Amino acid sequence: MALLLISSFCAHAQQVILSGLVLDSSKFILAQAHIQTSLKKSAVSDSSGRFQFKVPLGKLNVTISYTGYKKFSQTITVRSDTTLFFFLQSKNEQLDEVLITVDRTLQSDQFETTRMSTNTLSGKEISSIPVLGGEADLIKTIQLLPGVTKGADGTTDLFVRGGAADQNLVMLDGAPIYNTGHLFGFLSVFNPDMLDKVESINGAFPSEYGGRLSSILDVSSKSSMPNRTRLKGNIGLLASRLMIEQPLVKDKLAIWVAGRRTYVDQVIKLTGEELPYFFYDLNAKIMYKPNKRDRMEFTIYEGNDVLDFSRAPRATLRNRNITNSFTLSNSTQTFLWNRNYYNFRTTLSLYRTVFQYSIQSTFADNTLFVKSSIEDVGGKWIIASDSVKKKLSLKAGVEMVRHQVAPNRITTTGGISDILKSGATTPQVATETSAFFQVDGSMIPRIRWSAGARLSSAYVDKTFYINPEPRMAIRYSIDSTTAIKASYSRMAQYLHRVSSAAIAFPTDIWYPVTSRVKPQTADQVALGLQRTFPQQNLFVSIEGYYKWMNDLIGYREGASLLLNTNFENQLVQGKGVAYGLEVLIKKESGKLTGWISYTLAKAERQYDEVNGGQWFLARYDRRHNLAVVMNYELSKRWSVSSIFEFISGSRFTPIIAQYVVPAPSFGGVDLIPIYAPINSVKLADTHRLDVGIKYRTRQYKKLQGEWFAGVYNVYNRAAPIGIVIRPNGDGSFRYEQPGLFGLLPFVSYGFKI
Amino acid sequence: MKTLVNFLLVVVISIFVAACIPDPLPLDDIAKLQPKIVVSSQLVPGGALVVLVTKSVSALEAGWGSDPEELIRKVAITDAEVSITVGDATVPLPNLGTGLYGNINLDLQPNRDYMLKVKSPELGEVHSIAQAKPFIPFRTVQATLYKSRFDSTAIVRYSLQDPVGGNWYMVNIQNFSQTQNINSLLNPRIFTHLLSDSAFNGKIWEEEFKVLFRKYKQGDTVAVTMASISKEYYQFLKARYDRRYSAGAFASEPLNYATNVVGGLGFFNLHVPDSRIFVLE
Repeated sequence: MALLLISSFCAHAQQVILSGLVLDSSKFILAQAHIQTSLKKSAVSDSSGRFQFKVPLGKLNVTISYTGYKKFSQTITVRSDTTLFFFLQSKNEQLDEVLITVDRTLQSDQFETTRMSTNTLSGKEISSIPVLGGEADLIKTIQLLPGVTKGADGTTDLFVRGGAADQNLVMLDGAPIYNTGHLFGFLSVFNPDMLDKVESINGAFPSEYGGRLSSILDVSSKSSMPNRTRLKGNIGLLASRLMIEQPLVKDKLAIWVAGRRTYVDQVIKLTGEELPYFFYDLNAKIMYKPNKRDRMEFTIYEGNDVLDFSRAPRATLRNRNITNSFTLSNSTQTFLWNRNYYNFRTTLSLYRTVFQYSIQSTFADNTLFVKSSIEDVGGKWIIASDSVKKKLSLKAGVEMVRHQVAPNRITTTGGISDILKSGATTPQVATETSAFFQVDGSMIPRIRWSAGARLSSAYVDKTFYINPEPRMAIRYSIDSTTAIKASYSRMAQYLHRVSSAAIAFPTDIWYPVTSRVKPQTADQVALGLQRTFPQQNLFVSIEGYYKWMNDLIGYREGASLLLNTNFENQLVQGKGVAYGLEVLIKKESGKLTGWISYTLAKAERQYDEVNGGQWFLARYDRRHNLAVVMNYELSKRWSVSSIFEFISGSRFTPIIAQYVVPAPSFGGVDLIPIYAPINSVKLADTHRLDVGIKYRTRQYKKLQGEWFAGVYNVYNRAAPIGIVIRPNGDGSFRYEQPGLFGLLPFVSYGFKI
Repeated sequence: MKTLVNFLLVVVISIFVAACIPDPLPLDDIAKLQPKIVVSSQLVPGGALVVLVTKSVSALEAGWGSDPEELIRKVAITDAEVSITVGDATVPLPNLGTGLYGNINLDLQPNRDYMLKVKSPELGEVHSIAQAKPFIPFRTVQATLYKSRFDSTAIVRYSLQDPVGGNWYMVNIQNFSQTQNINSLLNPRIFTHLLSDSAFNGKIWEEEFKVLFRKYKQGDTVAVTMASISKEYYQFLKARYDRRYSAGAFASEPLNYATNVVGGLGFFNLHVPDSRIFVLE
């Protein structure tokens, strides 16, 4: 650590100004560093790394902390206005990545700001947690945080604060990702090796974000300029991956390339058999810093799932002319340009994202072709100024995105065309535009506030919608370690996913609002208490929220949306209410890290056309949600991790009776089901224990290795996805609640050069 | 070596998969629905009306593997009083056994209200009102054998003259036998093709369709019947037909079917069919 001291001779009688700049050893600015003095005054460095407060003459101790860096603490004597330069040293991390932020907050770093309802994750946290199949998975980790409920076990759907699964804007480097799951939703599309920082915003939305009601999941790929070549890889049971990080021009130009693929199909191929499924991801990024002011990034992502039975060589399939091919693909291209001026900065981001799938099937003389796609081209421009007269920071900007949607283009021939007719849902082009501003200030020492608004609009189907979205947040500091926060946000959503409320399918399509289907809106208030325990590296948050939603999209009773080209008639719009209490206790550094998350929540819906117009509980209304996530460093080589999860059962509408009518076709009699009132039955509670152990080899060699082994669902308990009826064998039947995943051991090997 | 690798792979994968699948959890406490009277009706070519009166059962008393005959015996209400009233006339429907009540001499008049009443000592009384839509005959109809590389089924070509106004049709194809037992109506092996006149209101409509998923051979005798049905019955049948091809409980929204039986379940419908018999060539 180093300290550079500059004193001015403008001495004041009692109080002097202590200001400073926080940098790392490479002279990179460290914004949002936490500065504390022995006088119980604290501050947070701004986006330029600067801080300032008034102190009395004399001695005082200054402590600066920043995640991933060694804590700096020194006693200094102040005799006059003083400016200090602090150079922090990074901690010596082994295989795991260190999260370095420039202008975003970590979980505890948000304490000094008005930010609340926000969860942050580091690459280390994601990689150290034993999730399904041993694959580090961002979405599975997000599902362990407060306010986030999972859908069916193992899937990537998120239900945030009583919202629906399509109410979360998931972005990779600013580009929306419409389908976040590989392997039919059981593994997320995010390659953990490329992740830099992840922020899940569930409330108190900054005005620059919009487009979804319930959450913003902002995923950023690596953005720290490397100083040497790095190679990192992992071989697991589900997939393997490789990442290379290469500086091209020192401190100016660098490239990252990462790939991930399942290889089980290739292993099976060695035996002469075929497993006609595979997926792959490809990430590439170039970062260019021509000078100290500018930073440009160009990122590409490509991911495909391919299921192709036409490759299977079995003679019986060929004789009956049976082929099935299903392809799912995501691709994004983004360009980001950050430019720093003297006292303001601008950010320009441009992106294109495409999600599409296609199905090609033949059976006997029947054929089925289905294609569906959504393409977004958009951009956002932000101008931000910190420390206007040292009291205010301003941010404003505009955003525009053009959605081109071409869903459910179905072509059928043969007998199947009598069941599923050729046709297409009307393609749409929707343009969303927004303008926003936000002011953050602290006029009174104990109070910080944030006020802003977003004006969003959409033009589609010759219809124009506009929605003002006010945003505000306030923070009251009780003392240097305790703060109360409150917020209000309004969000509007112009795009929705057409899918069954029970479970998402890869064939679910996204569709914009129309002249008949109005935008959904949500208003949310939140009140919370945050406290830090610096000595113990603990961050504690207790937060309550209330959210009410209007024009919420639902579906008519009996609606079948799978490959339905005329689904708009099946949509209904109504209301929703969600409220709850969330507790988070998080320890982010030390030998023991992890968090305890608990949520008590309720979510309800009401549609005039459903359930007789009565209010009912939402499908994924899960009353209690507890997660205990732990990682413990036993030694430099060994660490253990575990997850314990308890979630109240979700809601289901089972068959409770049935009756017989003669069949209109196929002969015999039909058993017509009678369903319980919608979502009236609670499935069994889910609880699960996952454990893992990590062993790092060759720590001080150039090639470092890491074995990670463990067990998912140690005591093999089912996490029910619904209620089915099964025969007992003696003519009677029973209810059952099946689960998808039981005890699953995993092992993986990671290496790094 | 390859055989050994295959064997080991099968063993490992089997162990893996067996270990993966957890035992399902039981579920005991779901509120049960009180049984209700269920009514459904069929018109036999020739003018006979048959009403099937059964009761609803719990979800655990029957399933898709249940024997249809056994199921009918279990749910049939055999001690009901069933009658049809039209105008001032009330015609009792005699008990034909196994929950069937019928009348072979019912002279259906179109656009008249027919009230069906069912009174059960155990479950009380229900009633339903239906009208027979006017008789719409085939303009032309032909059924022939259709042979492809993979299947042998029937293809039906027909045309009709649609009256002005909203009309809905049901075209049924079933195997026909002169010695058909009325009780076998419980297993009629009917294929149903539904049609709405929204695309050809007031015009001549011609089409052909294959009898899907049914196998026929040369010499089989089929009865092709067409009837104009009520909108409500069309929607009832269509809902059942559409859900037949849905991907299961998790892929569609739950639906409690509409009923026109007051106090009960099922559907009472009347229609006057035009029937033709064909020997498939």
